[in-house]
Amino acid sequence: MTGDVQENPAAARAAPDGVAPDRRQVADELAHFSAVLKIVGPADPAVEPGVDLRRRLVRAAAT
Amino acid sequence: MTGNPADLTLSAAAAQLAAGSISAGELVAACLDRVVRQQPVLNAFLTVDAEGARAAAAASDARRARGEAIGPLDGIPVAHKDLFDRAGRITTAGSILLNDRIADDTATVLARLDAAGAVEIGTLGASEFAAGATGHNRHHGDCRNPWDPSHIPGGSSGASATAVAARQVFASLGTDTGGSIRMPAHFCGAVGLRPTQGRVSRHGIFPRSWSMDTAGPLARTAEDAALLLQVIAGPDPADPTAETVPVPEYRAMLEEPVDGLRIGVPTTYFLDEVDGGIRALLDAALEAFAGLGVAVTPVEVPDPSVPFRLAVIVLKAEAAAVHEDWMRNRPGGYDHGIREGMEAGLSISAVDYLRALRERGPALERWLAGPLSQADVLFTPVLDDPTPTLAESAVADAEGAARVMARFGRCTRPFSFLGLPAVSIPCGFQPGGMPAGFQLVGRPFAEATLLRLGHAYQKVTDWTEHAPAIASGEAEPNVPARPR
Repeated sequence: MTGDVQENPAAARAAPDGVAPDRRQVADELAHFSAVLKIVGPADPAVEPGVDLRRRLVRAAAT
Repeated sequence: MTGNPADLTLSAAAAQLAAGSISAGELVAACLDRVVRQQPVLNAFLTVDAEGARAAAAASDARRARGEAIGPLDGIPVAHKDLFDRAGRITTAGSILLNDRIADDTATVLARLDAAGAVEIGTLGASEFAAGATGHNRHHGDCRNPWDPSHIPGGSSGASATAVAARQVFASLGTDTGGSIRMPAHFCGAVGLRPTQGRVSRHGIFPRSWSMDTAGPLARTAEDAALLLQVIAGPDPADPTAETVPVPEYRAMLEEPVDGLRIGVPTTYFLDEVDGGIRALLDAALEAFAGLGVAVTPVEVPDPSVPFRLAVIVLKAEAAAVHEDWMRNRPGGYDHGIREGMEAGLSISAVDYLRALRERGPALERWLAGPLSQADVLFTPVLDDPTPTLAESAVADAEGAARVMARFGRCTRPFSFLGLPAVSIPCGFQPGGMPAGFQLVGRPFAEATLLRLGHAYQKVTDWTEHAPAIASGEAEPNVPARPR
């Protein structure tokens, strides 16, 4: 860090140790994701995930 | 001129520079003075490059004296969230894990602002890896809201919003994945624009979720935001996702009439649980639009909770892909709460990630064919809850923080998933005195419409003229003990 304003002293505090993540929380999240994904319909082989949204945004801009 | 030049809007400062009634050197001096005085309270800046800023201002003034001024940003002091690379400089991304990483290239957006003559006076803080929505940062210290330092400025671009609202700089760049420009703008009383996915290059910006990340301006007015967007928008050979859709003349389009435009107010979800104080501000804003001849009509929307929840899957999977190595091998380098928030991403299957990603296009089509065919823009809260304090949203109060955070992103993240442009415009003050904004969401690449409506609204209201007391030096806020 350079400049007139010094880095906040908090930066010098020790980083947290490797506390293990809460596995139950992770499992709950994954179960929630699974439930959400149930609304997604069958795959369309013409749809390339990621690129598809960009194409649609550009196409909509032209209309 | 009279008064502090740092209090000018960017547009007004640019006009005074053009008229020769002020110099870039004077603007930089005023901003640096503000930063030095406010930094102990607000902690928005990570670094300040006073010498470099003065030299850049001198170069700008020399250009102008020769009649070679580049444009409205020439000589304007700015600073940005520390997520944007500059060659030869460390980009921390709000983390200590990148303390030794010196960028070998400059982010396209910074290079474009440099070429426009903007003067970068330093770097601003950020939530760790752009992953926090409050402004807390264990490593660099928490950033604070200029309207009341006990409250959050929001995240992850909270320091950008703070620096703009506190009149430390005239404008700033932030990044927005799920609301990280719009929510800080709401919390701090600034204008914050998330451009359409693909409108602005992401080259040289540390990623959070590469398919939903965007970069955009925070400023005091819609006009100022338009000036920044004009410079940073457009295709970029270094970023193939930056689209070639023509960039309009945003500033010129601000003055086009708004009467006849249609604002759609969703009949469900966004206003279902909105706080009464915020609801009153939103209603008053809609009345102002109606007075401008804008048609305000209710519209039915597809269930926003679907894109809201699917966005989390995409975001967490992509963030985990960015961080996997560090999360496994340098877990102590993360704030525990930040790492825990990303943990589930490591367990999302490729199948589930692709299913969520695949839904983005069809979901967009439903919104375009539905509400965005009946209205030019949609009107929603940015956040439907009162602004929390730093203590209320700190991980030290896990239960309270979980309750607060459950609401965050509820109104912003759905539109990130859809890739649509959205802007937060200040619309007054909540009963507790904290600012609030409304969100306008537009059709793809319709940023000009959003800014035009924001500009028209700001011409008939005076919220942009309100400044936090700390900007004028009238108050010496009592900084509470660090809550974490």
